[in-house]
Amino acid sequence: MSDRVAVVGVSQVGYASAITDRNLEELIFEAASGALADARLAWRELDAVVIGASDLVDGRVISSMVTAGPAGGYMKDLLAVASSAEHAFVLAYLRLAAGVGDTALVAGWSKCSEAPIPQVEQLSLDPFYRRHVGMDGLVAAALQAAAYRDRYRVPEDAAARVVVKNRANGTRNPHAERRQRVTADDVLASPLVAWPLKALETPPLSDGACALVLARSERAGALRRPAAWVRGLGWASDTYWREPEDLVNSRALAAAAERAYRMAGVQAPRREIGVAEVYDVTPYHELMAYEGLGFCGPGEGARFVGDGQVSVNPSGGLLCANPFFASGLVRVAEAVLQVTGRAGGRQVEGVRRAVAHGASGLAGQAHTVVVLEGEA
Amino acid sequence: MRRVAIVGVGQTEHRFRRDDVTYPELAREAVAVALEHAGLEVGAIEAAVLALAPDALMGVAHAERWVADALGVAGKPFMRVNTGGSTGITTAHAAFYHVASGMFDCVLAAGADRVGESGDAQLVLNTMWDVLYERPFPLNAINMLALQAVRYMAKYGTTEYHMALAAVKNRRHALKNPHAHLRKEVTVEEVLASRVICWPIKLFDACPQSTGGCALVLCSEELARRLPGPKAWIDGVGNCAETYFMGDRMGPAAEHDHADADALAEAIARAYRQAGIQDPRREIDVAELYAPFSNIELHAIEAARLCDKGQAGWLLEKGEFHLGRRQPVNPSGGVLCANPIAVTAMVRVAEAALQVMGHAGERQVDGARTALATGIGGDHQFYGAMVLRAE
Repeated sequence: MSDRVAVVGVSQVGYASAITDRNLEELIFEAASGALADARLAWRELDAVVIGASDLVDGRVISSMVTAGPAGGYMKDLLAVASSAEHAFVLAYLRLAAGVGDTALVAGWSKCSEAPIPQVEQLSLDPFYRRHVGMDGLVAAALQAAAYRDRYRVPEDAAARVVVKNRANGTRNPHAERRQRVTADDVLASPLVAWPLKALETPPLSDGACALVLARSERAGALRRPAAWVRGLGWASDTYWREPEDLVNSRALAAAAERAYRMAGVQAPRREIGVAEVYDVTPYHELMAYEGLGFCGPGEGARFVGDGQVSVNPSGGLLCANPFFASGLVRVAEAVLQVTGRAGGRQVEGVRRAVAHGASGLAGQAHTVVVLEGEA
Repeated sequence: MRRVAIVGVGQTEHRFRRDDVTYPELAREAVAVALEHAGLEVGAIEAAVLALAPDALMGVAHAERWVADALGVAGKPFMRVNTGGSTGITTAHAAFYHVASGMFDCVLAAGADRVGESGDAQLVLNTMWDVLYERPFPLNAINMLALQAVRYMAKYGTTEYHMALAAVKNRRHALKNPHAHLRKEVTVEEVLASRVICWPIKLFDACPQSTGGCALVLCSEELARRLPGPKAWIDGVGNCAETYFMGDRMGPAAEHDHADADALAEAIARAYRQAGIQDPRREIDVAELYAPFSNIELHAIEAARLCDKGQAGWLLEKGEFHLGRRQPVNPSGGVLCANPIAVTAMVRVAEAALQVMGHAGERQVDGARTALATGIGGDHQFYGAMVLRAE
């Protein structure tokens, strides 16, 4: 079953701190039509559209209403996922794996320049206990980073080295919003925004859209496009009320990775995975992802930075571009480009297998892991 | 394709408010009923899909995060679907794909809504529309469908009386449904004399604002065969999306007419095709059709091809589509008698499943073996359909 679905088209629009010459619908249309063109698939031949849409980020009720059309949804079998754009990718996969339809388009986006993201995150807190504390995505990430640092005595420069690496990678990615190198000293000297996080350890909030075209085996072959086969897929949620221990070793990430690797037959991730695009909402989260994805043991993340075997976030990751709700889907898109040898200046040589990792919810309540493989 | 069955159905009572439970507790209530109905423990659930429509109606952004614990999904695959009013059925579709893909044997589809607490739901729903063109009118879910009613009457020569017939039928059916929110019979005269909300829709032509939960347990054939209870086999699923701008559904360049529900007809046709249904008038025993206003039921019946376009009102006048007649529509009382928005379309699936399981109590349609459920979301834009069959 695992060899049946491939990604055959990719398009990214943006990313930038504010795209003012196109509205949201135009960004989505550009991404969706770009992905169809990349797949050499005519819109009329497309069977299904699965979009990832957040009412709160898009600033309107049932935002899928206005976004479905530009994503190509008119008269199509359309589903809209509201928990994250990477979940839309998962659902499109499940639909094709079930044998319903031959092709599906997945789209995700955010126009953060027009969205009060901290308030969106605050409103996601339950109204009885947590909302009045004033927590938001940044504060939750900082608490998690602090718990991780404390638990494993992570040196501050390890986080800085992750930022330096990702920012250097971002200079080679034309879609990156931040395309200037920084030094470890720059990172450590940048202002504290939420202890222990420095300004350069937090991601931008970007405008942009990302779309992928998926196809089932025979159809994928017939399109004669570079195919990234979905070999493994896992996703999981953690509890809403989490304990500090769960923050450091995410049970949701462990479950997602375990499922994806089992499906893909990956036994030694560090040896078998060439590239990982991980959800580095802060550098500490990249370190935690190394551990959660099995590249190293618990607490060994700091020593894994710059590992020669697995290239992590050659795109520059979230630290260089963060179209909030779509950032997990962007990881999938970048992994697809890597295994199909189409990643341009950021291409890692000889990548056969890549893993993409997305997260959503405060302190990464939900995680998704996708294993992609290029042609032999 | 792998066969998938609904093996457990759970609903709470639907009523205006529930001050005794939080949102997660309300969802949990429905889940507990569905698990008991299936004869399964929560640990048997391998993955879950949440039905939650506009976050703003709940007052908590991305409340899927808050409700996760109540669905028992810690460490398990979990996602949320939102297609507005059709969310409940598209969530059931998503759960179906989970099992049909071969990745899971037992998946939960669940959700809850508390519309009674959302203040003015129409104020919230106004923000569905385009900031510059349609929002300032101000459009809401009632006046957009009043436009449909007017167009339908103009095209087919029906009147408010025909709308009232659908309301009277559904209120009568709801007397037999212990979960229904509105359980008081009304007469045609009372419907016609009720307060005008937005002509031609009057108070008794309209759904209530309800609080309630719903849950479904879906299983693979292998697992379903090991469970003792009856099953509702999902033999067809289909979706279809209309244009966003209602103006694009009228005029010389339009592919459809706002009077009809052609995109709903297409969604249903996709489900029929998958289920091998060729003659719905003979093959469908009962239909639970999403219709938040009486006029919508008329063209939904037609979109399901239970009669020709423009004919539903005249057939209702002859007593068709009532419980006890050949092809009952909305024996539960339908959306007109309970509308907990996030799960309203899931309730259609739940009721259709109960019918083919023979578990629909007083509202049971005798000998029901094949049932159709539908959902409508957005501004009459997102349509979903599901065909369910007994063994």
